[in-house]
Amino acid sequence: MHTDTLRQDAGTSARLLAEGLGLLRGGRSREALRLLEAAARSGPSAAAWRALAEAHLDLQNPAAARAAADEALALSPGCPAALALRARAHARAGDQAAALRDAAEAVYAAPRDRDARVVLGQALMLAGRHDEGIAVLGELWQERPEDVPATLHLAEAFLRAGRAEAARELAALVASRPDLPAPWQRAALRLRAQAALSAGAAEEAAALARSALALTGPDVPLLSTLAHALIRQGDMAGARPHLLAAHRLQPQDGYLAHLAATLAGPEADRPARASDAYVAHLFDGYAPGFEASLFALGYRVPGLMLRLLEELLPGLGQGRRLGDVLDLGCGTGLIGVVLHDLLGGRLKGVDLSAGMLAEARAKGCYSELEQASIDEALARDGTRYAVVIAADVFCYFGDLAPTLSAIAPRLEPDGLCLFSVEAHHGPEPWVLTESARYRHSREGVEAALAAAGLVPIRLREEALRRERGEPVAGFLVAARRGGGSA
Amino acid sequence: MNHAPPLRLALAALAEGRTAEALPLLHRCLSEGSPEEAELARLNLGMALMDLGRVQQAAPLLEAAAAALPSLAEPRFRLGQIAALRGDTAAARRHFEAALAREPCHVMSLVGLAALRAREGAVAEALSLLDTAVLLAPQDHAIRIERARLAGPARREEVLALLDAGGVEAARLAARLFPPETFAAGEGWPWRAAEGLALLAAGREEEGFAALRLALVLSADAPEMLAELGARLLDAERHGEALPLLQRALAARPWDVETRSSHAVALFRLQRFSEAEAALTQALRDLGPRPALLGNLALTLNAQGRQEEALAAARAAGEGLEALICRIAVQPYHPTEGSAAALAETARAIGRALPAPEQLAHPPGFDANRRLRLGVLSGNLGRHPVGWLTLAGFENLPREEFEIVCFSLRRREDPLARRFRAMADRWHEVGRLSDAELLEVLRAEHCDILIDCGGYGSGGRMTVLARRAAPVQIKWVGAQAATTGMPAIDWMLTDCIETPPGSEAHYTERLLRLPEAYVCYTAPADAPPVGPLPALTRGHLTFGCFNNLAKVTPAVLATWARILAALPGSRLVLRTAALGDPAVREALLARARAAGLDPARLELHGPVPHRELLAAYNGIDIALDPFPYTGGLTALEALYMGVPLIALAGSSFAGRHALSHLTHAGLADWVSEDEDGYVARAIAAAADLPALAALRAGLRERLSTSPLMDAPRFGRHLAQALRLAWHQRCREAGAVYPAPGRM
Repeated sequence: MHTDTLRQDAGTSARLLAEGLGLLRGGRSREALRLLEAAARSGPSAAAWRALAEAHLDLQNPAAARAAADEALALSPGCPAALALRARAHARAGDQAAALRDAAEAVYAAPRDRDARVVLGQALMLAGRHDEGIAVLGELWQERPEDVPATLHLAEAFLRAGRAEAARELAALVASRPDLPAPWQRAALRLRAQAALSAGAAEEAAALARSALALTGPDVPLLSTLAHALIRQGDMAGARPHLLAAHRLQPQDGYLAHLAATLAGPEADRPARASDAYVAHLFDGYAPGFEASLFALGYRVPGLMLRLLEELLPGLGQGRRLGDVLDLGCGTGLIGVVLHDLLGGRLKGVDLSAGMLAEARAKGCYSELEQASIDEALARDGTRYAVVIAADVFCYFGDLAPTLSAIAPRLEPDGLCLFSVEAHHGPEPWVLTESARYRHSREGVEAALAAAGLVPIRLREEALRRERGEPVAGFLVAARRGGGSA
Repeated sequence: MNHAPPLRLALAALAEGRTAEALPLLHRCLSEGSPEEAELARLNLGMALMDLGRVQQAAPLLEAAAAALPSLAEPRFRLGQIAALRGDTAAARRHFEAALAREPCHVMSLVGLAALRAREGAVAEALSLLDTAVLLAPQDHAIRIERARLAGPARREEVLALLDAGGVEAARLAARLFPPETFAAGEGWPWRAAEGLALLAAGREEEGFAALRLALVLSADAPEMLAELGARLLDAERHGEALPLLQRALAARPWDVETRSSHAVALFRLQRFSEAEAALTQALRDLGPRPALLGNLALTLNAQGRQEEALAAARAAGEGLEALICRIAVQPYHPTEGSAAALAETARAIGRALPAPEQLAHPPGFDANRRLRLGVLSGNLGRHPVGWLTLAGFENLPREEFEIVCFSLRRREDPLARRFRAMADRWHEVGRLSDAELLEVLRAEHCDILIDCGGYGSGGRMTVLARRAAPVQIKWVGAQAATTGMPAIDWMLTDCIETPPGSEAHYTERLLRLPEAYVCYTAPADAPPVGPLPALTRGHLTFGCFNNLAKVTPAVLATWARILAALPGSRLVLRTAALGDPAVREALLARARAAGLDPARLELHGPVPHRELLAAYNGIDIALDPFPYTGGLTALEALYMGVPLIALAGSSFAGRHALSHLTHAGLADWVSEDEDGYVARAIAAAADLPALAALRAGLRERLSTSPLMDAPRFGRHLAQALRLAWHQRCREAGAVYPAPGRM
């Protein structure tokens, strides 16, 4: 953030705002940013702050966008445009409740404002209130069926609500329009292919993605949809070049890098763990709807962890307390929820994803939350814990020995290390699956524990969750430090 | 009515910066005043005209003043400035020394002389002259800047202090010496300008322009800041944004060569060729024959189809490297000088003017059969002839044999550019680097083979390769009109139609001939379908040529006139960017008339989006290809749209593009050896409409299955050729020749 010192001068400020807006409208948000900052500072006006909020939204800085929208609202309270901007900023930051509040207020202030209603519709969708969201976006579309963005918003809403057929129809309608500007055409083609994939028509999705790619040239979402459609059809070799191309176009995207590596040739070349960027991306992208989808999947791990603790620590809950607990890969804080009544000390959570941590914080169970990789957090932390839990986290790790070795010194003499892994039955200690998760063998887990100086006291097979109706098998493990201290 | 004497009024106007108003008053004194008044008026008129950028008119007045007022230093100093402006350093030095002989403390003469001496390498002497000047005029900011520039980064505080006093010159100097963070704390627009320029130099374009725009607003639109931002936007290819800024700058500083040149270049890039020509002509008239202005004038004339004048302007620019590079850009279009032999002569002169290749260590070694790292250097890896003609080849190289690293000189964002990025193993944006930095980056990748796809044109930096960046350097598409003449380019990628046996004498490179076509065409995915033969419904034949006007010579126009004369009712459609300019269109019509073409049978169209350009072929029966610079991508596009072309084979590389393409499409019989044959072939083709309709209906299919578009096959050929070049290099390095059977 630059704080260019300027004369408080209305003329200069107006000129800066005009230049900045011109750049913003021309798609040059990054260039506009500093001029708008200077405009807002040299002669504060709601318009300057709104433009600045818009630039920050374009540049994916939701926190700065929200701050700028706050300033705009302070200068002109109740301004629908500023409220709509702040709603977008909240939504981008994952705060759906606040987004909904601001969007509703914007529509209340300007009931016919289309932009405010789009924001409200999208906020409702993100808050999981699909029927209401579709009603708002559907009305916008019915008012002006020729409005391309409105049609695309509605198609996107249908896709999010699981109504893939409706999404497909609308996207196809847009894509078939002649002389569509390139960005909209790309958006329509992407939606159409994604909708086909969601509807289970993998073959059709692949064909749509292919013809779209021939028209638009390489495009990361289309390449990724094509690859997933091929994977769905079991064509791993076919998917690989598309993931590789997507990865080359967005080398900084850890999610793509990991997927590309997953499908890469021989076993030996595969990475020993998922990159931190992949894990953070995966969960930042899914945080708001993450719990719902986990429970829908029959996710049992937190419950299994609780039962295991009750089994190992008799009397727990009837006066006996856990002590300090470290929750590695705490996610949205589900472990915190199940342990909440049993804690006798601190509960620290660690996760890579800011989105996940925001959800965990909202639950109010954790005494400390740290955004870090597990390795970083363990390396920094000098305290000892009664219990260290890694629930459904090691599916992103191949070789477990380094992490377990870092956990061991963090355990009190009688401390417990609890974790789950997805099970694999074969000679390799671990394999990387096509869904980009690692699975571990019983022997592999035992060897890693031994290397870390840990002794298993429970190691049993359990169904961790359901995937497409099938139970996913895993191992539930409890271990203590070796060397006679147990 | 003001009754003050005109000389006093004139001097007052000059003192207040109302220079233009002073001119009529000074003229009046010159004719009506006393002899003494007239002398003073002459001197002041000369100085005023010079300030207004009218150097050509100023010079004789100042010479007369110098003769009439022999004791004065000022007229001599001004004459020195004019000589320096025109690049005549010897005369400039004489004038400055004469001024100092009359007035040893004439500060600006000291400065002028220092600049000359510094350019000649006498830095210590220049610094001591400037030290004296600073003592004499401690408040003069520009002198301090000059001194700091010569002294370099050692005087950091002195340089930064200059920013407080203001000026773009200080900002430029500071930005060259220090990183962007240096300037964050400073206040005032020159600090923002320095920060912006330093950010641009660091490749942080958006932040850089933001800071420069801030500087412009804070400076209250200072003309020098307008000029600076305009020039930098021009560098970034944002011509439309640059032009209005440069126009405003020009009004305030007509004497500034750089502003005048940037202004003309902006007009040129916006394809406003006649305005660009006028701006350059005026600048040359005012400022004298400067090579850079002449070079730009040559390009501007060439773009309008005035090949003779273009080559003359390029020749007038002299024999310097830049002038020669400009000459090789326009010469291939020249009706007689565009031959392979004449082009080779110019290219060899360029080769001699370039630094010699260096012996390069190659740590990866010379194993003949290993996987090779292939580098590609170009500013045109996207929607550009280079992209349409090379992309499929790179995409189809066997990747177990080749790793591909792209060095992009221009950031592009289009579907083809994304295909290039998706294809490359590594990508470097290197457009902002200086020559020395670029060479360093190229060498650091240790490419085994480096392919140049930019040439001496604006899309390339081939001169950097003169010192050698890879053990094997190859020229391919991208201003590939003739030999490069550069000793460090080892091979030219070609085929045996482009360069038949016997062509070797005209190439300094070895000829790396592919077994079939030397390019592989990627057709646009959204190309419109081929329509029916228009002549069948129109009842007359429509010829078309969608090539650049630069390729349309008087001989071409005369040849076309013969065809139209032989086929009553037939018409000719020309469609190209330059024809969007009304003055250019008028001039072409005049030339066409002179060549015997009836304007009533001509249809001229300006630029349209690419897809519409292709669709326009649905109104053409037969394409007429120009010469001696023949159609490359344009020929392929015509064929893909079902339109065959009449072509003439020349001797240069550019003169044989159409021949190569038509031959590999199986249409070699559409090419003639001379103008009579060209005319006869066109008349014969026009006589058989059913045959023409049948050819058209199958032409896209025919092209698509030909070697020109069979990408996998082309990829194999390219791989074999590159391997051959590598084996050759390994053999020279003394490596063991590989076991047979590998190739």
